[in-house]
Amino acid sequence: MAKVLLEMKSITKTFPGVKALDNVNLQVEEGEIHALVGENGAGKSTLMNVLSGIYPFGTYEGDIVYDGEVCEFHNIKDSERKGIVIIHQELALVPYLTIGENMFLGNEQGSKWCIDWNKTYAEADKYLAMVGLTDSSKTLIKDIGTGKQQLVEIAKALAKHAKLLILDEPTSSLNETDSRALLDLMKKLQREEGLTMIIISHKLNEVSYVADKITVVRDGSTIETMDSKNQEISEARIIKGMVGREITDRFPKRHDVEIGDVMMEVDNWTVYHPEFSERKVVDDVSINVRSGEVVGIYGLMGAGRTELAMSIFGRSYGIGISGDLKLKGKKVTLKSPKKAIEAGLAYVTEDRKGNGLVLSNSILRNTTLANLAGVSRATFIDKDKEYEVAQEYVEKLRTKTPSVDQLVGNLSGGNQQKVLLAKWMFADPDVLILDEPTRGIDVGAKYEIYCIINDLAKAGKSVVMISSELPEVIGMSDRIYIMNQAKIVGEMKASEATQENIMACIVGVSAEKNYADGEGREANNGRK
Amino acid sequence: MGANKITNFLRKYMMLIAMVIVIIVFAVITDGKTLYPINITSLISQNAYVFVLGTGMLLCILTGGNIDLSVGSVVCLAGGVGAIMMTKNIPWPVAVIVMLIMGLLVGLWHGFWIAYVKVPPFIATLVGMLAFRGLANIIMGGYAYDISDKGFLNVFGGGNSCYIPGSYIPDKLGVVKAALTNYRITGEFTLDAGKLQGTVDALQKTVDAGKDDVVNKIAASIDGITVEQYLANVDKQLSTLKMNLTAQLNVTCLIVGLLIAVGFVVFTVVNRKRLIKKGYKVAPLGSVIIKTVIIFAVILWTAYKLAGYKGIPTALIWIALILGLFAYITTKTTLGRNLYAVGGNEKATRLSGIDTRKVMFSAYTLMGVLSGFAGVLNIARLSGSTPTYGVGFEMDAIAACFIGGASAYGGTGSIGGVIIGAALMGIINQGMSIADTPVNYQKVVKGIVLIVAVLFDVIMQMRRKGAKKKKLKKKLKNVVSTEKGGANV
Repeated sequence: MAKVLLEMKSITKTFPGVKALDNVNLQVEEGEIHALVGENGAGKSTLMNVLSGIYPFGTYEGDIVYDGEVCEFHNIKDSERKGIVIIHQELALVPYLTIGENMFLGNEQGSKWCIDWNKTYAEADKYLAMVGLTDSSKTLIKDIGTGKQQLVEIAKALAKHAKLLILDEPTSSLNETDSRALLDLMKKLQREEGLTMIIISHKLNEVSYVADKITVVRDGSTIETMDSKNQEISEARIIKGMVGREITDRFPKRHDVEIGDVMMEVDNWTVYHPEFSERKVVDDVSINVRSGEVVGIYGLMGAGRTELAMSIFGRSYGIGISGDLKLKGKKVTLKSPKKAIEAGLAYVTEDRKGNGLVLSNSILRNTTLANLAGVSRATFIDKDKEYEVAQEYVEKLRTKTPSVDQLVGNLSGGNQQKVLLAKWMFADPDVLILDEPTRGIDVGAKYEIYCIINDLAKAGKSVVMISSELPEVIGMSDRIYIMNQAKIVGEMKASEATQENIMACIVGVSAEKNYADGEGREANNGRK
Repeated sequence: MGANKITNFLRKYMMLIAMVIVIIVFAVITDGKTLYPINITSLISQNAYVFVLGTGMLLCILTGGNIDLSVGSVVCLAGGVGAIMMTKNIPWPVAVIVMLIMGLLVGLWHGFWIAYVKVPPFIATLVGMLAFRGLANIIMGGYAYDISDKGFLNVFGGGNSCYIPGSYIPDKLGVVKAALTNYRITGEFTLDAGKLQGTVDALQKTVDAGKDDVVNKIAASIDGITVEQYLANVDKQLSTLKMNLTAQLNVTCLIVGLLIAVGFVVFTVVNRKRLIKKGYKVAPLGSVIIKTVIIFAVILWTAYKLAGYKGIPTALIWIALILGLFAYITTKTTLGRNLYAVGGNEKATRLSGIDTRKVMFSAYTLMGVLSGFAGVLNIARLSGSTPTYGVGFEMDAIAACFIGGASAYGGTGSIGGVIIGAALMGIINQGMSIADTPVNYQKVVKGIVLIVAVLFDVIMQMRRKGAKKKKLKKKLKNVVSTEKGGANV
């Protein structure tokens, strides 16, 4: 039995209204690669943030025992001093600095008063060689690809004398070849440097490829830890751990809703990433939705769901968009959100603070923002009418607020979501695309949002609900599309859907895809 | 909760309170000179450009803390062209229209680069600041141009008769004040004109007698001061008395002031009744009454002061028109609403189907027109134009916005704030000038005022966040404890 390097004992972390971690235990042995798997919001990243001191000591309960002693990390520096280094999903590199400068940012080489650049670059080259990167350490970060940037992150971590390296979704923005190279590097570092690693990933095939132990996190608790070193753990086995929970009647039923004609139809829709223009984020997707119907789109984060929705909504995301969009059977081209709204579309964003609401404005102003024409004559706003409208929606959606003049920034997440919905309901669309409509809000508010969705369907609207919560998708939809890695990989009636067969759709494709066309990708890269 | 209410009150009215304090402080320091009618009048005419430019600047700042550095240069350019035209005997209305069009063109130019080419506003307008100043110098050839067109000067607030005309009546309040001064000197309270005049004559005699006069020497030694000091005191009393006795009031100004004040009260009452009838929530009656009474009094007081000099300066009418128009635009039109939305969250606004580029474009275009108009007011006020006019105007406008509570990140701010900001700066400027503070010290003080104003805002925001965090922590504890309790059961 190897020495236990890290033990997290009964960690509990609470956010307002949500218990993100509930009595979590995690044991990591020296020299192993330990995988954390779980659905979105299961608490994996939270756990790692507790470990690395991002959530400082005192904001959680429980103990962290590292290298035989109980640790109290107050910030990232504390944990890094002990050799715990975390690499986040979003790369934290400064594009206009060189690789070497980035690697020693905050850890500059040389004396207190003078940076020794020769030493910096020599050291940098040493660590770059360790991760197998041949670029000069004087190259600017912006000039190397994401795959290499990920390697720089690892080299940076090594330069901090990391003993325990945490990688949060390291391959989420990499293509298959780069992902494979990264996983191989992890194995090499384990073998040659004796590095201990924790990897968080959604890609189960990668997990079973690289991990010695797999811990499943679900709803803020660790469910089980499986040893995959000595025996093969099937992906189905992992999924069972991830989703094994009962769907209770957390979802209100829809009665007497008549499903009518096809309202919106999207055919062969393809979208490219706005920055990496060769990357497809939506690949040949065809979906449709009828009036009175709630269609769920399920997929893990980064599957391309938001990209699909936003590109439909007046091309507000992506480049090189191709495919047909038909509304009520008529082909339309929507070049801006404005046109999309006029055509009867609404997109309720997943990022309500970033893309949805003007937090420094009142409920009233947010409610009418997408349809100011509805409360004004020419350019002059009829304030009385506007007040009535805002008041009406506050009552209808039961938004908890002292008055419609309350700033939206002061509301809770659930009430903010209601204001966002009110805004789009007042725009009176035929098709509503709801992107993660219940993200980050508490159970009670979720139920109310579900009721609103049902009312919308009852009123003959078409609802497309994007969600990464399986029970929600199954409980609320009439029909479900399953999306993975930019493609629709399955479609089923909600009555036939189970958590297992939905997950199977995803696994089936990703397993087949990941390593089968690795070579083809390589050829592509070579051509570039 | 009581403490919270006080903080809220302070937040809302801090700058207003600060202004009142500053007014009082300067009135004390300068023996009330800052409150003389002539000074109140010149305060308004001198700062007309700050109000106008501050209004435009507010639009830009609302869109996301963006500023326009070029306004000073545009004032100079438009003003220069206008002045040249008028010296060439082109009718002034034509010249004014040309100046406004120049401002408009500049605005379109900036708007195009900023909104559609996405040049950062700071850089685009920095370019304007340099280029338009240069252009103004080229056009004016480095010379100054004087304007003698009385019509133009009268309409836009320059020269000696740029006031709304009206007949004059003697100021009864002035007589009362004179009587009070007289009481302090003679110990006798009387409103009798003859007696008061007697005191004036006596004082005049004392002053005329000079410092070698024996009586004066004795009087000074009784008070324990030098003869010079004694004479200076007497002279001061004399001039105060004379001023109050001869004070006259402009009738037009008084009537207009009264109408506005009454109109304001009537509007408040009618509007409140309408809101109540419609079932809307209204502010508590007490605070409304206090507010109305204060505003009523301020309007009357201002009118009284203005009437005591030459009446309503025409510049004030322009300021009022501009401020009123833009207060309406920012609060009651879709453009105004969109300005706030873009500044608050550009992405969300775009996704709500609003053309954010158009909003940006409109803000800078309006700023350009207002700069042109500030140029008109400026050359009228100074009866001419030189190539150095308008230097630093942009900073006055920006400072007025920020002192008035506009957020440096955009999305919050109001015309009311601009009024307070511009007025506060003007009052401090004038107060210090009258108190003979050296110019360079004045700048230091203005800088300090700006940082204090912004600091106050920052601290208040931090406090609010702190309070929220504390609340969250409390909530958290409750959640955890109830959940624990639940588990035990």
